[in-house]
Amino acid sequence: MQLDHYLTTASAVLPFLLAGFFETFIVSFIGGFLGSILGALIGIIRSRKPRVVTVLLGLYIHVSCSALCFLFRHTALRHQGAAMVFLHRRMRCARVLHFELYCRNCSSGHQRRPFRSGRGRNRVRHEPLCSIV
Amino acid sequence: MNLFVRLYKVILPQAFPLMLPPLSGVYVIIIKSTAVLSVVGITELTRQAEVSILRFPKDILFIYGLAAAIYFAYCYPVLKLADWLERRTTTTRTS
Repeated sequence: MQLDHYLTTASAVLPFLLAGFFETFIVSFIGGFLGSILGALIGIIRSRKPRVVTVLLGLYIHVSCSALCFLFRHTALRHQGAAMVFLHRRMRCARVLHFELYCRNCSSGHQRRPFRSGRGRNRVRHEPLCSIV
Repeated sequence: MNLFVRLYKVILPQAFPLMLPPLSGVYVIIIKSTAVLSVVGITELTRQAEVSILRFPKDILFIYGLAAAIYFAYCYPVLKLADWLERRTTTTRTS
């Protein structure tokens, strides 16, 4: 009885769901394809190191990181530890800004100084890293 | 060698195995993020499930379960395909 009910519902609903799935497939495919091409183009352009584009992209990364940082620190998103770690890692890699970030493990802020190791030609400067990253 | 020959012959063969895992992950995230489009009226899978729930209001869990099963049936093979491609490119490089 219950199984019949579910089968009837599924047969009535599935065509619409499959139509929706087709739409999802198209949108995700176009999004992934165009996003990949855009990323590849930006990478190729940045590898040529044109001054104007580099400055514009740096400004974009700066502004987007600032906005994300503001969101994570002053809105309900501040409890999202994983997102903070993601942002943290991105900003470490980008080396664009040095915000006072905090994540789940280092809640007191993240302003450790860089340190050096080795001697002579082997002397290396280590960037400060969060214990999670 | 000009830029494009260099890209095609040298850089891309090295970059492809490196970019496969994050690319598949991002693609799955994009698939799941298309649910946001239901807010702006595009009738994708989640939107269709919501419309179907209006017709069968007693079967909310079942309809959302079907939608989730469809999402899973799409995302899981994508990840498996990416795994297979990654293994294949890695073994090709090592051999």
